[in-house]
Amino acid sequence: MTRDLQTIRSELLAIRFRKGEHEAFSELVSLWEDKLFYFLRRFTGNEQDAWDLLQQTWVKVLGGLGKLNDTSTLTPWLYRVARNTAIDHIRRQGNGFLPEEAAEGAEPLDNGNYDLRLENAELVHRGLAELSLAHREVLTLFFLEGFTIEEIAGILEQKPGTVKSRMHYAKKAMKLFLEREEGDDG
Amino acid sequence: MAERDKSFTAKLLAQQTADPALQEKYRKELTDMLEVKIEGGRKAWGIVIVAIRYIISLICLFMFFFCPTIVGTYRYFHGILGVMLITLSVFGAVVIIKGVYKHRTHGNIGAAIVFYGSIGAWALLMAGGASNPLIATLGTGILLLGITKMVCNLIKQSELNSREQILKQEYRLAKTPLGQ
Repeated sequence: MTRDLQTIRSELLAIRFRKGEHEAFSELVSLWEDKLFYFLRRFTGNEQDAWDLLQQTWVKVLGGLGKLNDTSTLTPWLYRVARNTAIDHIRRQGNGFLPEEAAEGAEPLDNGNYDLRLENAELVHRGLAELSLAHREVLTLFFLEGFTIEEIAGILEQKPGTVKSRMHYAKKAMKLFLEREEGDDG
Repeated sequence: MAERDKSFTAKLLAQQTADPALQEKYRKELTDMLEVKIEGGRKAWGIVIVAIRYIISLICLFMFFFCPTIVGTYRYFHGILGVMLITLSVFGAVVIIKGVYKHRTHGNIGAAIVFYGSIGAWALLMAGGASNPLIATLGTGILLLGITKMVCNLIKQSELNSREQILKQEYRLAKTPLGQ
C-alpha cells in the first residue's frame, strides 16, 4: 500500500528543513495546522487556548524536527507533540481531567459491534463534544488520520490493549449518540 | 495507517469554525516567531554583543602574536579563543546586516565553523610550537576533531539527499492513478 500524498509531502518538507531550508517549515505549518488545530480544539474548552497550544506545538516542532532521526514517523510525532503540549496545559491549569484520569478501568470488552457508518460529519463533530476526553482523543485521531491501534498507542504512550479498549467504548458511545440523534431527527 | 474515507475527514475539518481575529493573531505571532526581525533595541543590543566579541577576539589575538611574556598553554588559549570569537562575530554581523533571523537547522554552518575554527587553531598552534610534541599533538587533535565533524556532516547531508530523492519518486508515484 502506498502512503498518502500528505504523509510523503510532509516527510519531504521535514528533510528540506533539516537540510537548512527555512521555507520548508512554513509549508509544513500550512499543511498541518487545520488538522492539529482540530485535534487541539477537542482538548480545550475555548478557541483562544487551542490557538495558543498550536503555536506552542510549532515552537516544540521547530526545536525537535532537526533531531527527529526517522522522518517517516513525522505524522504520529506531530500529534504526540501536540498532545503533550495540551496535557501540559491541562496540568498547569489544574482544573481539567487528563485523558488517563477520565478513562474507564481495564474492564473486559463486550461483544458488541460498534463499527461506525461515517456519513454525517456534522453529527459526528457534535458527538465528539459529548464524549469523555479519553474517548474523544482516540476517535479524533482515528477520524483525522486513520491511525491503527498501535500508532495511536504510540502517540498516547499507552499500551495497545488500553487503546483498543478505549476505541471500543468510544465507538460504542459515538454509535449511541448517532442513533439517538438520528432517531430524534427521524 | 488504516484506509479511511478522506472526504469524511475533510467534511469533519470543515465543521470546525474559527474566529478570524484569533486566527490572525496566531498567524502574526507564528510569523514573528519563525522570522525574528533584528531592528530597534534588538539590533542595537546585537551590535553591542558583536562589537564586544570582536574587541575581545582582537585583544586575544594581539596577546597571542605580540606579547612574548605570555607563554605556554596560556598563550595558545588566547589564540584559540580569539579565532572562535572572531568566527562568531562574523556570523552575528551577517545576521544583523540581513536584519532578520530565520529559524532553520544550522548543520552546515555549525560544521563549517568547527572545521575552519579547527584549521585556524591548528595553524596558530603550529606557528608557535610545532617543535613542542605536546602542542603539536594538541593541534593535530583539534584538526582531527574539525575534520571528523565536517565528514559526519557530509555523510548526514548525503543521507538526507538520498532520502529526498526517494521521497520525490514516491510522491510522483503516489500522484498517479495507480498510486491512489
